[in-house]
Amino acid sequence: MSLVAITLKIPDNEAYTALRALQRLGIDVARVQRSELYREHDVPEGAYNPNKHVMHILAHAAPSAGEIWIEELDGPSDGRRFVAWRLLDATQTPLGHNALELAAQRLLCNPAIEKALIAA
Amino acid sequence: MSARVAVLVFPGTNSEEETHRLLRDCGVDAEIVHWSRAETLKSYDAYVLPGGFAYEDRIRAGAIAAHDRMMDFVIEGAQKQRLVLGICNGAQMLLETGLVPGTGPIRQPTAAFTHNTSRHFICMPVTMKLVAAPSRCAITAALPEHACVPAWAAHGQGRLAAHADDLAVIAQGDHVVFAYAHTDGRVDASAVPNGSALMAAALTNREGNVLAMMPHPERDGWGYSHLDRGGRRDPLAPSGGSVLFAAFAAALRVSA
Repeated sequence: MSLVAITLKIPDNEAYTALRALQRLGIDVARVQRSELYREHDVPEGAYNPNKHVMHILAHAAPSAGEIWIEELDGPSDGRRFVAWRLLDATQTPLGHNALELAAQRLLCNPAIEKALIAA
Repeated sequence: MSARVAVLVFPGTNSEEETHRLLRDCGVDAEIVHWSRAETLKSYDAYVLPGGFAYEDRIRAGAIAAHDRMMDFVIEGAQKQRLVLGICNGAQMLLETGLVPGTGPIRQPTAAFTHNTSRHFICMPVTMKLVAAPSRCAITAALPEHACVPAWAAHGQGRLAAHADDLAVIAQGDHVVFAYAHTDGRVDASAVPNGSALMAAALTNREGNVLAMMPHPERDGWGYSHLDRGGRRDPLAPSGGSVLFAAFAAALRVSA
């Protein structure tokens, strides 16, 4: 399955809010990036606006270092497969697995309705 | 001295005025409390979390608000058996905090009000039927058995969802206080506007002092809420949804 990542190239208020909330929850994170991941041929009209977004095809359909992918469980599909969160520390190094797991548990994933795929 | 009720306002809350006004009309000593005055919340006897879009529903509806300083006081109050009523976005917050259904640890949710099956925002009148014993929840204790309360569903994320075992716990524990119903009181799946599991419109916690309700009874609070009043109804007379707030007022008197 090839996945396409669509990422805002203008400031992402949602990622900024997540950053501040994660910091308040005690997670040592300095930068948060957010992308929406779609199947390559399933990108709905309106999801990508070249004035606001960059799009690229992922080499691997799995989270890279520092990434948490959130998938909705049994939710109605609108083509979007995952929301990908990338967490970096002050040296721009991706956060390790334990910190990512904590971020997912405390904020980014509600396990009642979502599943978190976390980089190894 | 009467009980004091805080109507909480988060960035993005939009239903605090009518919620506050209807509480006052029902004789409740209610005040609107903004997020910048979170520290004052400890002095209130009960909390109402109105609808809206706190923090723009970023990440998930209620997810950021669940970690707001104001919620620290609400959680503390709920654990001291103070009454807490969450409506729409307020209900989503209560599920994100885990206060409702309250079957897991705090801030580790076991259920959510999430995207409607249709994936569309809905805005429509609905009927909520009391399907638990009135005394199951302190806030509904003054309502008659099987009471039907009119309200407005106005949400994009109002579908109760959880894992099957958690839904079983919710069902067996009588956490579903109100179910969606037809206007004649029949409860069946065709009355559910959003695909909500267990046909749930409102849930309570184990102790019954916290109520999370997706539809807005305050939007059926006065005669002017009805477009079809035809000039005959006093626009300021209490309407169907006000009974829920009157019941809340009665519960406050009992708990005082």
